Amino acid sequence: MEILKTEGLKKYYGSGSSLVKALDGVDLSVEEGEFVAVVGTSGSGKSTLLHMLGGLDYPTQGKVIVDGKDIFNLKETELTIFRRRNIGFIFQSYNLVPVLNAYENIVLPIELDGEKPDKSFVREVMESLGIYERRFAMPNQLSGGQQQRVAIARALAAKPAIVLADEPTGNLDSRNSQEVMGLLKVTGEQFGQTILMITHNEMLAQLCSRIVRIEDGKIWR
Amino acid sequence: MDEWALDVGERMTEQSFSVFWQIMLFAAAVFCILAGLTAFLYYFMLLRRMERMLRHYQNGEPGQELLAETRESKLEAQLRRILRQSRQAQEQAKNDREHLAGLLSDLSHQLKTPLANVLMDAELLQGKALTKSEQEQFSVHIAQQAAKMQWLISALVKSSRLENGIVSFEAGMHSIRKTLAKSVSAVYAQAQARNIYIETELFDDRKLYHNVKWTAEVFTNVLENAVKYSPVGSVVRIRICPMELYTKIDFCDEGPGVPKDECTKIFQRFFRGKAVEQEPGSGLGLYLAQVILTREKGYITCTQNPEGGSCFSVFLLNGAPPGES
Repeated sequence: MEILKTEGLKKYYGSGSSLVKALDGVDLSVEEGEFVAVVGTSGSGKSTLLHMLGGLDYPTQGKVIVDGKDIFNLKETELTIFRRRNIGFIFQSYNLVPVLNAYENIVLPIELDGEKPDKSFVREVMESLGIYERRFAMPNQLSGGQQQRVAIARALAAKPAIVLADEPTGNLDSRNSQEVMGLLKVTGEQFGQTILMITHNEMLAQLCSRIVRIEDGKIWR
Repeated sequence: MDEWALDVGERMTEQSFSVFWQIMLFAAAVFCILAGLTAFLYYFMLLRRMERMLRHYQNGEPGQELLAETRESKLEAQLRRILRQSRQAQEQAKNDREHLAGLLSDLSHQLKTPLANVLMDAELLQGKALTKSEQEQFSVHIAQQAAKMQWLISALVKSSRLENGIVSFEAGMHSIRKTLAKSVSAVYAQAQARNIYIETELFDDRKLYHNVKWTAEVFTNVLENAVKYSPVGSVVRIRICPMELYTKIDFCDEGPGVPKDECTKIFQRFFRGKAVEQEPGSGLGLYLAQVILTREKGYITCTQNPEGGSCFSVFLLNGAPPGES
């Protein structure tokens, strides 16, 4: 079952001689449960693509359909709510709230939605990522790799339709990068979570079930 | 006169008082009925909307969901999530069936050639005009093909059983040195025959979460590949790199290496790299390795060795995963 689809996605900046085609007609399809890597060099358009997929920015043309919903057909408040409930994010710079401890950071999106977190599930996710013992630590007491694992737990705990990861290992050394990639794959499979990751590192993309290459705003077959 | 007026006055106030209360009671009753009706209508509409949503999902259409900060909207979102999970489970079951069908069709395809060879050789053997040495040649050929078929079937059945959880797979905390030693000794003869030296970097023994017998098979498969495809007289290096959650075991060879675009594909069933097409091999060793590692919550990657050749890295957990002791 298709969980994510784009149709002729275009994002152009500027006009005339200074026209920049960040995305130039992208057609992408992701099935439920896949772990897809979008690989491209800097400037290939992969970050722009991720922002479109997450509804964080509007395209010049084209559609993004998440779990059957055309997200750019929604009003801004509706899109915010839809995004909060259906899309999980993992960023390169972890983006944890510094005044909350690890556990509070993980359940923050759930509580923002006014829901009660499923405690046993959150515990399972934390244990799979090896951070359960440090659940009361503050972000500045955790190493980079541990902080990223907290960010991963945060994305997984809300059980979104899809998790979008933007260079999740970008700020980590090679050892931590390998571990985090392995964890993404193993926990993704364990919890049946669809993950789409963008990266410039093709070696790390190996663990993914499918690699999509993007260059100059277009997907290469 | 005054008394009477007072009396009437009193009675009138009494009456109007009770009338007042009667009206109040009546109004309260009407209000309660109206409130009850409104509540009933509200829940009726809510249930109708839920029913409509369920019907949409049954028909496979994406539902029209109200996106607002209201309780009903949250309820709808939860319902949507639950339905999505049940759909995922159904898809998973369908995928498993298709996977099994694929396995069977692969098996039949792979067996076709060796079987045809055996039949042809048998037919030729039945012909009279053959010298003793020719007869021997054909017999040896038949034996080889039969052995190949046997290995193929056993490897496929093994991987299928592992994937479907049919075989009992007990993983626990075991010494990695013992497991490595088992696999190195299994390929020692092969390596010796090609003058290939297997060098294990010194390491402190650690206990890692794995199944000894199956993981030894993983290491053996990786080492066999290294020995098969490395040039004669080269070195295969084994290195242990402990990390925070996993321990990485590197197997680096000086062979032709694996090109970047094949790195993910080599773990697929029956995939054979272009560089090694001419060498004998089943294309199942790495597939089986990945199936086994997935069962023990580990994984394997392939990278280019900067000194030429390839490095296969096996990752095993440093501790038992949650839910298993």
